[in-house]
Amino acid sequence: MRKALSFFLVIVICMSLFAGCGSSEENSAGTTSSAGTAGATDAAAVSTSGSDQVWSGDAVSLKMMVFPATENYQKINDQFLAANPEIDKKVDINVELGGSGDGDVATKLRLLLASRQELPNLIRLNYTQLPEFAEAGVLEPVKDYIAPYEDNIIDAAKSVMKYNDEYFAFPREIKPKVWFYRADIFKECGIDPYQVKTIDDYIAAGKKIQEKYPKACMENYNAPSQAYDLMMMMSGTENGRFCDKDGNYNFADNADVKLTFERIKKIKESGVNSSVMEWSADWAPAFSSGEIVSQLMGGWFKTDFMNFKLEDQKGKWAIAPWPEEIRQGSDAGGAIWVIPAESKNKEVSGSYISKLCFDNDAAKIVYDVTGIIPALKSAQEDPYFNAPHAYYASSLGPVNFEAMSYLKVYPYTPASSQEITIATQYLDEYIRGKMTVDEALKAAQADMISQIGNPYKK
Amino acid sequence: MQIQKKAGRTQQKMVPYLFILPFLISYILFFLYPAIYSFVLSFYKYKGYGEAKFIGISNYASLFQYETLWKCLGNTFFYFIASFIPTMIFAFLLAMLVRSKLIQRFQSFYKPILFLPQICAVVASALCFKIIFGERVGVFSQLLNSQIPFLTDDRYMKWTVVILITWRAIGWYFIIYLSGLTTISDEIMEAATIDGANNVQSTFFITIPLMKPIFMLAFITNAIGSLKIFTEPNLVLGINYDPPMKAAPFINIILNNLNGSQFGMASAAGWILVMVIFILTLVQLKFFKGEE
Repeated sequence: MRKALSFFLVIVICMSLFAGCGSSEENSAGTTSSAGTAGATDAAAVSTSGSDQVWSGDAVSLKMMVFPATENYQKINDQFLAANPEIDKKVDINVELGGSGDGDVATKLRLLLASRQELPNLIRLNYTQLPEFAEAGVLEPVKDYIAPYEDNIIDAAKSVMKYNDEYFAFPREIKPKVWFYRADIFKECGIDPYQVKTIDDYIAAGKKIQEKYPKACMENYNAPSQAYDLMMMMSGTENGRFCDKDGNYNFADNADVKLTFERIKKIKESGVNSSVMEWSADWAPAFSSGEIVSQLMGGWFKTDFMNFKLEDQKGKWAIAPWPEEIRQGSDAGGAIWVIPAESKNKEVSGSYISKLCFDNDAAKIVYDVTGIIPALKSAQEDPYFNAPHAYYASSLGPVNFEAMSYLKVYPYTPASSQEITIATQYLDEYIRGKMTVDEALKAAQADMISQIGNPYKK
Repeated sequence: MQIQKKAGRTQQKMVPYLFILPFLISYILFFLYPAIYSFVLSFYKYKGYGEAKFIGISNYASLFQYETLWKCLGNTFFYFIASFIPTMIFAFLLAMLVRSKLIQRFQSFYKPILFLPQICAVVASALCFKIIFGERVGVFSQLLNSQIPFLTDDRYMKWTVVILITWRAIGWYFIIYLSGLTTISDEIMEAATIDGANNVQSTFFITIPLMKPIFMLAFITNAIGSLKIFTEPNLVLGINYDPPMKAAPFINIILNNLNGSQFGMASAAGWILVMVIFILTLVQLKFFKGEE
């Protein structure tokens, strides 16, 4: 009897192992329609029911996956729902951390897709990842959610919402190239950033500042280099790209890729470049000490800079577009929201995020919490976004809108993350003087061919 | 009657196996199956979703001709060897010192102190080291009144990681060696002393030979752990996200492929690492066997 009992217990314990291994087939089976047909069904629901009717009926739960922290998104959702009681009744939204960066979220999405687990309803990515998921057909086309707002969206934003001319994303933040500079020092030295048109002018401006402030530097391009520096510089060229439209890596002789590498090295060796590494413990003190008096960055840096909590720098920094020669382009295009094709409640997700991104009042909530300037034509004239800034020496709105007009999105591929890792590795070799530019480009090209092959090939 | 007895004996034999069945099932389900699955996957081109395409040994062939893979493998071996030697020497000497009659007092105080780095979260330790070795605000740069690029210069960056690994590991191996030393009976040591052996002779001819099984355990676990190193170099040398490939460990090859949605290639890189660890473990086992 005792043996039979122990045998039974062992079987029960063993079976309990499988309890947590339930399949998520129900989810998959329930959403077996292809991205296209699913999109059509939900879109039809939006267009026939009208956007207001989306908020009627039983409440639904939405999961929003974000990076690098949840706090701001929780604040935004709370304020947005408080301002929109009809949506509050319908939507119970949970913000979930996807990791410290866009790469983490993309990896999490891949693993969720691979394991067929329930997908978040809304996912924050960067435009860099859009080609991979859009090409694979795992994203919901969102044209119909955007249609009511389309005329009010600025063109720069539209370019980061599309892949192959089809809308797949909502813009969280457009990331134009913005030049941060010490307004007080520039003024004292008689430098107008709008008159700095070329890289040579930029270096000359730095030398002029050094006459008064010998330790002052205009940039801090160093090895190891930053991927965003490389991509911002490359997107400023006419034809700089690693991969052609057919998926071939043939850039060793591409004049614009070469020019990108050379421009970065030129600034590094200009004598107006600081050796302080970005994101190191030395970076913030270098702003306070006056060692770094300007930064060629993406628009997103305005928030990071304020997060350094440098009270002594308050009112000293202003922004301008990059020097004319390199002002086109962007950093990763922008931050976006996507809806997975196999997620639940797509109609509610699409309506929720489109209102959050494109509604004027919602844009003000987002601006208050994060400082993000909305990509809306109506916002360009709105005094709310053009008022003097509490921290910076000038208003951020007008310059951001101007910089957005120079926004050009690099043609990212489904393998961009690997391409950029390989390219920065050889950029480091070049700027350290271990390789010539031609050797570096040839080696990077060889690695991309051997490690990636053709990124469009399925 | 005989048949009943036989059945009873068979049942009795089955019972222990039934008790380990839960472990076996979980082992098969969560270790063996994923391992075999990843091995199969290493012959496929697979994004993690969608269709998987069989490509034979292409993933392995691509990886073997990828110069950065060898660089990262070299970095991993550097971290292993450069930390292995001081860790093992200091941990053993400390254990000998604590075990000796010279320092008998305050053991309850300094034993936990020696083990403390092991308790500290590796992320916290790594971030502290990042500040300690900072070029401008770092402790050493301030003390030496000079800007030393510990975290960015090719000559120093990997050594910073080695110092962190060694600092963390000494406490762990100190405890292992100390527990090994307690298994050596005092009588043997006293007999050696009566026979005229001095401290050095006792150490080399009595203690070390008797500690061989412990050394084997320590060396093999250290090798396996070191070759799978990831957190320390990525956190200490990572600027923004990743460390430069010049100093990146082998695991970064796997991760870069995962981030690039190349699950097949990532699996192949994982299996290359498994083979390296396997060969190294065999060499170590052979070495110790030969010594015996």
